Amino acid sequence: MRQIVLAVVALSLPVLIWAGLPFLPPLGKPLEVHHGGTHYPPSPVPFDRQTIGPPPAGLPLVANVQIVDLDQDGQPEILACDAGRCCLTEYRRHANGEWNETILLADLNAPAHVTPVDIDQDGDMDLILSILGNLYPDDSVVGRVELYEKTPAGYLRHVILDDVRRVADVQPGDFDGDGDLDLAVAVFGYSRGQILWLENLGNLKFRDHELLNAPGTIHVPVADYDGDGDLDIAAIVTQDEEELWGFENLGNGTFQSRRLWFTINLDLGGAGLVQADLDHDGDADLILPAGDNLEDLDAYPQPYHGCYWFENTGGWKFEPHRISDLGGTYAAATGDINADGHLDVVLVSMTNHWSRPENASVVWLENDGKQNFRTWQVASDPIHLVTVAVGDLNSDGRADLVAGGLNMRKPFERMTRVSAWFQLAAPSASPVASRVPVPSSAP
Amino acid sequence: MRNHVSQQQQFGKLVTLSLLAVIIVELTVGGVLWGRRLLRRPPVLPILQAGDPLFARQLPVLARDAEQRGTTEDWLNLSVALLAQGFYDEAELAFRRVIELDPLNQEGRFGLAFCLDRVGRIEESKPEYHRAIALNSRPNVTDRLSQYAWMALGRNELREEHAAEAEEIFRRTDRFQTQAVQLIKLLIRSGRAAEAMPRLDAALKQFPMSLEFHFLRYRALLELDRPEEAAKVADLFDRLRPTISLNFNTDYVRHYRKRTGFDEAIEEYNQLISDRNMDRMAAVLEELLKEIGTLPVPMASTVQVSLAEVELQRQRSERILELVHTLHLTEVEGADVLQLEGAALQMQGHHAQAVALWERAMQMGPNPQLAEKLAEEADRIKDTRKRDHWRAQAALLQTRELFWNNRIEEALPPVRQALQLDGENPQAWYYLGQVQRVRGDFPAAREAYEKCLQLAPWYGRADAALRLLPAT
Repeated sequence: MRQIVLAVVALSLPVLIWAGLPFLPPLGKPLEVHHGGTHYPPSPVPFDRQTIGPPPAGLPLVANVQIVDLDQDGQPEILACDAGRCCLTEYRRHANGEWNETILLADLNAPAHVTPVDIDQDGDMDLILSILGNLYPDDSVVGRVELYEKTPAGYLRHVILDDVRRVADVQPGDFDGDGDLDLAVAVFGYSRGQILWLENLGNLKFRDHELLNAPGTIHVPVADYDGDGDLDIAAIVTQDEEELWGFENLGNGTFQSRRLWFTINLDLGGAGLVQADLDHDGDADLILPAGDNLEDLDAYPQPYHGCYWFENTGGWKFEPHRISDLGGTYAAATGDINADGHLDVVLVSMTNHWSRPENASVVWLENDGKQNFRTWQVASDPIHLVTVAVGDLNSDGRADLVAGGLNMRKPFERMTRVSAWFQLAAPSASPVASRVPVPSSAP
Repeated sequence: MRNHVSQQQQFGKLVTLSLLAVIIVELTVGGVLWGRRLLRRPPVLPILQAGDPLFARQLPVLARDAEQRGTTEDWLNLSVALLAQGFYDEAELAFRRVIELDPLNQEGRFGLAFCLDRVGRIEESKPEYHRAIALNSRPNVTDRLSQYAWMALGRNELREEHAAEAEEIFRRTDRFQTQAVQLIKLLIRSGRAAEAMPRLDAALKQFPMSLEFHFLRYRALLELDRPEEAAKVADLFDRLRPTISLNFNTDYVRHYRKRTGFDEAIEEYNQLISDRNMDRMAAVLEELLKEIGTLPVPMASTVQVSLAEVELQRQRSERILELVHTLHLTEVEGADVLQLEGAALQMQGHHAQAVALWERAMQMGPNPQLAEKLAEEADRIKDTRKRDHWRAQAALLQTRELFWNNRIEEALPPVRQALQLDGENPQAWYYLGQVQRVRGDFPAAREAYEKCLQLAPWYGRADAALRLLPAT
């Protein structure tokens, strides 16, 4: 009998063991998952976030925000290029603190940038729109520069440059010294692009001149970079190139082009170029936010993302310093955030690693006056921010921030169209940390 | 008798002992099996945001298969699904399990390398890419993943600004066009444009219409201080199409993405397009719209616009207007939305409203087909001035498309038609100049540019093009 039982057990055990295997739960310790992205200590300067205008009903695609006193009444307005709604919106602050939205210009095909300027010098602010023509990669001639002339009856549309690839930026300056305002134009394109300057011939007619044939120019900040009294043009060329260019004004509408810097890192992700005298030495420096990796289907912050300060050392030499490692940095703006007399830098991120809720989307870099920067986190919500501006939005004497969201990628959460961060109290002194180490770069 | 009993008892004991031994062995083996099974690690899954309900349904099934059956294939399916949706951190761990189960699995090894690469762990990715290359089953032929791995290794040296190491890799693998492009670019940027020129000549002999190699030739000529030749090359590459995929990342990921979530559904829809079965296409898109519901995802507007285009073919104006209304509610505007709305209104006999919308669409995104429609509408109301204006526009826009696609001979009749209809359009004269110049009819080109500049002295490009013409 015992043997029969044992035989049954011996026969059935393998079956039971085998049959039971699929039902056994996994009790092993899961492998630790890596999480990238960057976050920082909270800002000692307190901010209060406010959504500007109505909450979005879809996926906001704001390409550019600016703080500007458009009607010159002493109160700043916010302008936003809304590529989703194909319009330029204006936000005005009312006495109750609410910001009302007005669509200033409609039927704009993927506006990348707005440049408020009195182009006809008649005392009011006209608007120049950089029209991509398509927000998504496109190498065809879909770009335009549209000038909206301010008239008593409203804005009057003039197409001043057509038949070019996607246009990302326009900046004014009297380049030929004839007393009127000419324009520098960044034709971003995709595989091909250009940098142009448009000579103002009067009567809102502009003659185009090519400065450089290269794809991916995002911004063309204008300043007297060599201190010789006339206006020059700088440009960041991206895509696979990642080059910083300067166009020295030689007078009479002639320029000498100079490649000021480049990196062989084709994945740096240059995302813009801001001109500011960061070290307060009287010349114009350049600030490069880097972290655009929209060419990947799913972007991820990279170790070389962040912000690079190009210190103008004279004679068209610019020394690069890496001053932030914020993942997915997409835009920079400058302002004296803590009112200590030194110019600080504000950065926003489009593609930090958003799976970690603590990762930063807005930071400011505190400048100790010797250009040592410490990064302070302002926000991790909203995310997908691609544009930022600094200014005193509520006329309380403190620097506030405004940012816009371009929600093209996962996760579709923590979205904003336009958000502002109002500084709450007088800034306090804060400790200083050293710079982030600088990677080598080919001069 | 006693002996017999004793023998029986001994045999019984032996059987008992044998059975016990078998049971002990079975329990030992079973214990090991159960222990190993219990100690296995579960798949690490991302927290899914409400973005893709189709993928959200697929992922638990893939994870359950990997957890319960746990074959290499199960883990690979899970790995590539995670990778396809951009969950590189979680995909890395799943790929590691694939390699544990099958150390010779090249797809798993490459996937691991790619995940490490894309999250910026470049140094860790390098040995994995090399292992993936070593797993090429046909050493004399470079397979797709080995080719990608070489590209990644070269690109990563560039990302780390290791010029010499990058150059070494590109030299070793310059039989691939992408690698040749990067090698030539490195040579030009490091002051060796002269060394790059023979390589460029060889590449352009093989790929005469390559935008990428022509662009590099342009850069090389500038470096060599030969601006006039450079300008001629620039004039040519302006009209060429990209032919080389310089970044393999998208190709690699898209291969898997087509198998998951919304992308799989869209892929299935795309298969229907060639059949032109509009009812079936509409049904598939309606189903997809139901899946998306009110989720704020880009796929929503993509599907709505596609569905509206299908409904346009099915002449269902009401449904188009419903879809356009939804697009407006979700703040999606654009020339295509205006064009669809106009088409629906035209179907319903609201011609004036349709024309107003189409004129706005033309202002935003001009295209020859829409200009033709506007010409037809003007003709319908016998407005010949407007009809000719839109016909001229249609012809000019057609010229523009043909010219930029380097279809020069085809561009000549429409540009002539545009000028017949509107001889005062400087842009049309400019394009006539462009077409004639590329055709080699330089006197005709000169005349056209000069006419353009006479009408519009601000047309800088016409002036620049005049300078490209040979002196007469």
